[in-house]
Amino acid sequence: MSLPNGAYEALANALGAENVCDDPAVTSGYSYMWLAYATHAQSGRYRPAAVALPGSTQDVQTIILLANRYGFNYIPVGTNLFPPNMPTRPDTIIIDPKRMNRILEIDTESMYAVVEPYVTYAQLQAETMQKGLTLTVCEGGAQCSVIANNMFQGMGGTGHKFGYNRGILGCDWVLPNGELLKIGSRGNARGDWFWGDCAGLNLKGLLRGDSGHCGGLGMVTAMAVKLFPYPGPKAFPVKGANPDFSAEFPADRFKVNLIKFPNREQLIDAMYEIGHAEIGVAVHEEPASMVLAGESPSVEHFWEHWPEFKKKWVNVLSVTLLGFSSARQVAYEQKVLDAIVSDTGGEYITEDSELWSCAACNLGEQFRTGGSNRLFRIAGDFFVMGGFGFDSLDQSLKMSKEYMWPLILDGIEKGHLAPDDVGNDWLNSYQLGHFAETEPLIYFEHDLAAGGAFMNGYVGTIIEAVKRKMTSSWPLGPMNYITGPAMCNYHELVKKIKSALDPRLTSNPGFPVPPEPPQA
Amino acid sequence: MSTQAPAMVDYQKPLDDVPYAEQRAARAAHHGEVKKRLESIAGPDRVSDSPDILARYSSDLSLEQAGRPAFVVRPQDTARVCELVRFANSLKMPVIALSSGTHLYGAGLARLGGMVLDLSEWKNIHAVSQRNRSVRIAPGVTYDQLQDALEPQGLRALIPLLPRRDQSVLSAHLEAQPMLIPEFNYSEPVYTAEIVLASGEIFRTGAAAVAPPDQTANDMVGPWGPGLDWNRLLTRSQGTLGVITWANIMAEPLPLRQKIYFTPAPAIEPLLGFTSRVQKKWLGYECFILNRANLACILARSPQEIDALQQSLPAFVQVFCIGGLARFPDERIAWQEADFLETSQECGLTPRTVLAEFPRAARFFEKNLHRCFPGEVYWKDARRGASADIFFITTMNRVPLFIEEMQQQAALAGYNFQDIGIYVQPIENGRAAHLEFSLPYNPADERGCTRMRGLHEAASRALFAQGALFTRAYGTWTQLAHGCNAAQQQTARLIKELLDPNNIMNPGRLGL
Repeated sequence: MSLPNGAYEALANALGAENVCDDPAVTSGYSYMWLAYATHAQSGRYRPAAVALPGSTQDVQTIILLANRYGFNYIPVGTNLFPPNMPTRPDTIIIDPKRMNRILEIDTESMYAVVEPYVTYAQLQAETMQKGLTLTVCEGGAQCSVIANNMFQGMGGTGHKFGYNRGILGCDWVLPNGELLKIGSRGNARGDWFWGDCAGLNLKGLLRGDSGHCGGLGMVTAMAVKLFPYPGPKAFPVKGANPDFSAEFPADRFKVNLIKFPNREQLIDAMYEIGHAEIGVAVHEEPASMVLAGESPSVEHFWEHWPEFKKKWVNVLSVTLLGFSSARQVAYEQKVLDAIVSDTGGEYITEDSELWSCAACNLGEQFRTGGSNRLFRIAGDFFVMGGFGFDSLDQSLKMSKEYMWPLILDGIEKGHLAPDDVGNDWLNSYQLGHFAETEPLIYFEHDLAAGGAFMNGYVGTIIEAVKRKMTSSWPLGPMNYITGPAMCNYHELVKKIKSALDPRLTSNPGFPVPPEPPQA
Repeated sequence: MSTQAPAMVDYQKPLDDVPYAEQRAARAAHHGEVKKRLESIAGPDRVSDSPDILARYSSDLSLEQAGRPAFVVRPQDTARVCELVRFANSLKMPVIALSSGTHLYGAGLARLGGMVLDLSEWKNIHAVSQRNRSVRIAPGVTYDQLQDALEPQGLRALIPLLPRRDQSVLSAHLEAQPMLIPEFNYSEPVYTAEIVLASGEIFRTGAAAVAPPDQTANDMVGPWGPGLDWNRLLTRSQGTLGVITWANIMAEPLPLRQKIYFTPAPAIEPLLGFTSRVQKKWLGYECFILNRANLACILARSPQEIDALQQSLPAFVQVFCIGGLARFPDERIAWQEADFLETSQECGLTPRTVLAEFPRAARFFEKNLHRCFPGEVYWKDARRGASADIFFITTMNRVPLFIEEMQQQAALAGYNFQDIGIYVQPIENGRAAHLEFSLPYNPADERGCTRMRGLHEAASRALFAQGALFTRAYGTWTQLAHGCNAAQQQTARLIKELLDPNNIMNPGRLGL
């Protein structure tokens, strides 16, 4: 696990001894990864050789230059949510940006904020709301790094209006050769942050995609992200404490609607109509498990209420309206929504009903997500079934029904997955319904067998997708060898880019695509 | 002092081993062989090397240096494009793909010779999906053609300001020309695309990657991936990465009714503030600001009318359009109109549905906002015959600084600033702005062209120094931009070398 001779000392000299550590008591903390538990199994084999805490872009450049000089690998991380953060080979250090947690600038005129890698959504949104602005908060939770999420895919609860994968503006990006690449307007004569596209080839294309480069092409040390107008209170209007809390926004500007449909086809029709009418700021199909998990103070509570709740909460669409301009907008959009609900056979869940009370925090969740963390309560682990792709709303439903749910039901029957057989997904409309994705949530025990079953299912859905000539997003690392040959051999191009920018393969070596396919 | 030794020259030995006449014959034979092979791929009537035809492709409406191709090829389908590109790659012969009829900025000139692939005849609108608001188009589809096809289905294409009739829609989208509607969700309008790479292989972006259109089970509207963001990489790449053979783009709901407002002002500052506020409220569709020079060129019925008309118009006018969609169209217009007018009052401005100084303006924009410029002479060419444009991205609040700089540069060059057209197009709800100066000149006047070249370059340099972001890097703008971002240029070269090792795809553009 140790670094090459001289490397640790060089890191300590450059960063300060207090900012580098190879004590197993510390590095073990970076060897655990909730989602990859099954495959990595806390064996200790994957403990990083050290953890380095840079305080600036220059520090990051120094670490990367030292990695090249001494020949060790590094993984740049944000707030450590996802599997690519965990080392899978020796001589690997973690670049943890805990000290780089500053909001460098908020520009209210041009609606952007400049942040360092450890700035979280909750931290940033708290400041932007003070200035009448917001941003779409990562569905992984407001505790996530703004930069990491934007590089992964920039997903967020209000993606129907604020977009998906569209948040990145100017960036400072340390390449695997240690050079600083300035993206977008950062490269102009004034080094501005306001825009993400630059003259010449648009290298922002290398930063984002399905799932970004996952630290495989160096580290972004500062990023300007898009902000959006927000007509709400300056402080997030939360009342109560988790899980018994609510967020009370001004009713004339914020309105959540929960609508039940007889079937998912009609729900999808309504989503299309909402997109065509260009109303709403957040539009999601909400699965029962997610709603009840958010409401449950304990795992016992969840399972006690689940048998009845899952019968009542079926095919529910959540539509949040926001009056950017005035209360007139909300009134108009509500009228349009009423007509759509009527035309597509929907029925509102009324505010005095039991179901409504279970989803009381739904409005707040759209703006500052926290509920995803509560999904662990159900069985210990959770994730979404893979193999879904970003395409139309119709396509999302088709994927879900044709190959995702058959595999999930099989997993439930075999006892690998928690018994959620409702058949509803967390299905999201992005950019006014221009495209969508569906995520069937699955819950499993926090043990090797269940984790293995999940991983096999995840890969299984990817195989099914490409077999059916459907697109598949989020094939991480080695999974690109499944999707690549079926999708214009993109993985070969990505590998070439990786080799050109990182010839020693020191920057999170297995990402975005490992040099060789996984061995059976 | 150089340490390199001078080359030894044997002055007794003939310089050429092969007699000159034989060399010429060999050159001609090689040309003939290449032509024959091109004809065998594309068809004999689809390859031309006649001087007249080549001359037509050797220059464009820009001030850029001319560049003559060796061949102009008009392939009929993608399979032939692949074969042509493979053949060109084997010879390291440049390939320049064109899809518009008129070229404006020098990006399609064969700077290093080679083969022009003219795809402007590819007029197929392959598929329209009303449900998914998408349309898949070939490179030669033009705006009026597309709008005619979309309107019966209740859709419209995103369109820049009054484009030329032969403007390729696909080019406008891939060059990221600013569209009239600044709505954030319309601002990256390419869903997926097919590209023939320098190797002759086909690559498709986003949800189209998994299978060709006739075999896919997808709707091809997912724009991301596969892997990285290829759409972003291809946008504004000026054909340096490959030949785009189709794109699936956004088609938006066609408003059933629309209401256009003109807000005049004696200076641009109040209009910028007003526009920013309106955009942050997410109101309306088309929204842009023109100065009187541009407005006069657009509205005049003949070039002779322009000067007089310009005198009568307000210095700046914001054009703003509210649209009513299928559900409750009048009510949609009503609430947006109320909010728009309230905002104008707060800003001390008075929007009007009729431009008092020129009442026909309302009818003109009503009819043409979604269309190509209808006049015989294109509006930018109307004043002097041609226009040298300088355009870039900036922020709304910095627009006045750039106008001032442009005014100074015009004064230094002895050019009448009043003739310069100014167009401000907010982007993404006013997050940024496209600022465009149009400098009319007479292309037949050689000295005038030289002076204009000087002004264009000097002004570009001065504006760049002030922070102008030349995202569409034509001509000298590439060098300007790369001059202060070396890592960008080095990294771009690495990517280009990977995708096009022989540098055959439009070599020299973007500094590649």
